[in-house]
Amino acid sequence: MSLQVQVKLRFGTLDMDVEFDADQGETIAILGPNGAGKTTLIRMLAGLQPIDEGRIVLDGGVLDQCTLCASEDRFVPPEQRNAGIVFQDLALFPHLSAVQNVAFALEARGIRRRDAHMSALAKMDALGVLDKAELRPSLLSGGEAQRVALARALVHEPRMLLLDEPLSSLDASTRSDTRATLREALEGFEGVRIIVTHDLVDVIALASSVLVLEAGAITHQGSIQEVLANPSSNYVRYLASQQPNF
Amino acid sequence: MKKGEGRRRIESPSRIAIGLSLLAVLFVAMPIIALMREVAWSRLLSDLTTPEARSALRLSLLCSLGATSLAALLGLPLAWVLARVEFRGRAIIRGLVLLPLVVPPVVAGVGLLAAFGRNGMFGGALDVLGLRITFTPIAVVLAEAFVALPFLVLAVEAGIRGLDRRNEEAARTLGASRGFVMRRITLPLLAPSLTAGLALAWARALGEFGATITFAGNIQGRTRTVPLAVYLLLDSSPDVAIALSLLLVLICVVVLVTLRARWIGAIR
Repeated sequence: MSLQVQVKLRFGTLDMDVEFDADQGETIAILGPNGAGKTTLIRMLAGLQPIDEGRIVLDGGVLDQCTLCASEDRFVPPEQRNAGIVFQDLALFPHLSAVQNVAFALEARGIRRRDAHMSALAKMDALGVLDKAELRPSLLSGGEAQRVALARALVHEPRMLLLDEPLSSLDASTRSDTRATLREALEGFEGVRIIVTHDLVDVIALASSVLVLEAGAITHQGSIQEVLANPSSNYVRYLASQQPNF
Repeated sequence: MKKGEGRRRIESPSRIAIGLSLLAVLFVAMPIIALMREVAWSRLLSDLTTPEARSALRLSLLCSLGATSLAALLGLPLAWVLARVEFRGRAIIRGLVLLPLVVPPVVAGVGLLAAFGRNGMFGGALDVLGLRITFTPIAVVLAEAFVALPFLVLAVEAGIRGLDRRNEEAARTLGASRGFVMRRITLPLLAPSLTAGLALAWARALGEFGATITFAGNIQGRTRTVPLAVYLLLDSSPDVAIALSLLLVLICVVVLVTLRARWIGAIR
């Protein structure tokens, strides 16, 4: 399983031009300042934002392709991409219980409600939120909601896992616990893994390589140590000055 | 704002404001209280079951339900388009749709007559098709739907605008088709606005008078709905007219109670 991304997009004032590959078993962290295009990139991969030019290929299959020759263009809609996404604000369905949220992806694929719920409960058990199954999202704590969102993103065994600042809304202690859960989940996931974050600790704990996205372009690429050792922008120089000891 | 500051402000409004508020409540409540005083309670059931009253009630119920269905059929897609599709002239379209809220109902009736009457704009075409609308229950339905439509569109459009689109996007990334998203995410989240819109439209349709009498006439059993019957019976059988009026008020109360959680509760 591998992902090849080579995309251009003009989105508001942002001019994106991004190219990178991700291999199976690799967790790529996308770092960047606000407005750099990180979430837009996740949306392009998910099929929520069509590209202007270029292509996105997952495991040999074209997900999105936009060329000068319109007859070669292709766009696979979000529901056919088999991605698992944890949105920045989680986007749990407020009118459904936690288990109904997790079972949603299975029911959407035609799996019977009873079977979908059994699978959802098993996934919630694995992530330590089985006892929260019947609660609505508004009654979950930040960490619990995060785990439910992760269970929802993983339950249908997606081909790629996209995490958009998955820990940003958590307080320090919850963040540490949830990061450990997330790390376990990422290690057990065999597809392509991409995580958007602002936090160097998340990168060090979760990612095997880093892309730094600034103003729509990749400015640094490599392991976190390589990136911080050779900063060529103010943003990365700032990151290097903030790095914890490792 | 410091803790308790808001409470203090609520607890100490000026006496003038309290006096005027009480007056406003009385102004609204007094006609209802007066109406209830006039009701011949011992004969209420028999008054409501006279042939005239039953005919009007039956016609009102059928026509108002037909009008609400028509308003829903036309209004729901329109509310969707107004809330979700950006196009030039959207503000003008919205203004046009809301026009029945401010146009006097009698004028609306004249307009409907000019459009669908025998000598109206589409009268010739309707004649060719063998359709005669004026002075039929269809005219009642059209008149009621005309005045009810904005209530439905306003409520549903506000509901759609209030929906968090990320829920629908998240659902699609989880493998749900557009239909599945609509059924399992959009419609359940929209249910309170939809209920409010349908209830308001139905109540407005049920109480419609001016457009109906102008466009559909006042024929017993065919176009004489409850409001028209109330108007007519005030002279000949005032007790029946008052009994029917009370019934309309009760229906309005039921609609308000239905909407309680959404609006009155939200304000509190």
